[in-house]
Amino acid sequence: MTAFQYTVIGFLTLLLIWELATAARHVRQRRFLLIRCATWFAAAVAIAFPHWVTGVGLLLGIRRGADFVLYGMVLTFIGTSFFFYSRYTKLEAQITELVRHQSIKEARQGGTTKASGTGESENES
Amino acid sequence: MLESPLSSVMDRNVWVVVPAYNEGQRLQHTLESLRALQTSIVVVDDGSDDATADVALSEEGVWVLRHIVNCGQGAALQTGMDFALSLGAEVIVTFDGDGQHCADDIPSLVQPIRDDEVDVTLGSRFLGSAIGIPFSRWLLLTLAVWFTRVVSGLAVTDTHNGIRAFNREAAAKIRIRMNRMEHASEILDQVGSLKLRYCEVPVTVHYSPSSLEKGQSSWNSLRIASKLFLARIIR
Repeated sequence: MTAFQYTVIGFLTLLLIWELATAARHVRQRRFLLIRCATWFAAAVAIAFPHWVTGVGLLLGIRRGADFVLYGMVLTFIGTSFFFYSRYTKLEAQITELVRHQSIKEARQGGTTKASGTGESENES
Repeated sequence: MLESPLSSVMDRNVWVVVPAYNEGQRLQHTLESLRALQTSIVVVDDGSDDATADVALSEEGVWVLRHIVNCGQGAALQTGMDFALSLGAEVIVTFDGDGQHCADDIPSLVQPIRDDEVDVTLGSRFLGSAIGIPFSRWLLLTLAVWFTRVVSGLAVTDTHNGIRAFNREAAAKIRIRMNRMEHASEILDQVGSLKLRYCEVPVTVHYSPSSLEKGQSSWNSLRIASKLFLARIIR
């Protein structure tokens, strides 16, 4: 094993232990923590045994293990980009609804001094 | 204008929704031109940093809604439409706050709706006139028209024109979900998918250096196209 492998695998092992310890405490976020743990574990295995990655690459018809990793990362990047864009649009829609609700509730009419939104009007009538 | 036969279609049940973002200097002129029509007016101040809301509030009878943060013109229009519907609007007209539209065009937009010929009227500067339009803007809008024809399947002559009108039923069915400038294409999409009856009405659009500042750039048009594409594949 090279110095790089020792360093990174050591770091990933510590990270994995920390993640597992956190997972034990935070029950509600366990799903995402386990996904992260699986990612760190796969990364550690791939770095410790690069010929395994090459073997998988050859099995799938990709000649080099590095290409297999690259393709996997590109697909993961695209997938996560779509996921976060979807989350962003949903969050934006929620914020807009909140802003809209508040603005209608606090509607004012020119020439009058107090707010008189539809929410208040409905209560008055 | 009030002597025109078309003015008989105007009353307080016609609501003009004016989205405004940092329009403090131009809004007063817009509201003064609208006041003569005797319609209800609602200004949606979309999180402006200037005195837009105060200018609107200085006009007697004008309703003012304030977004506490800038959400975009599409969001502001939907807010104004929701508000107008909640107060019993029969016809809703959308009208930009920057003074590039002509209030005299509103009765022509409302008339076909009052006559129950259509559900939606769309202002077209290419059937009417676009005064002072730069060539680059003309080219961009022409490309946008073709894009809309392909995507929405609507045979329109203008797109991204902020002056349009809806009857109550159409306004209640249409839901603007795209907050920013993409909303214009989204509205056309929904007019097509909801099978609403529509027609185009010639209108006049005045271009000035200040209105061009806030208009669509080439980069924005690419952004709009990409957002519309993403909206179709990601929910």
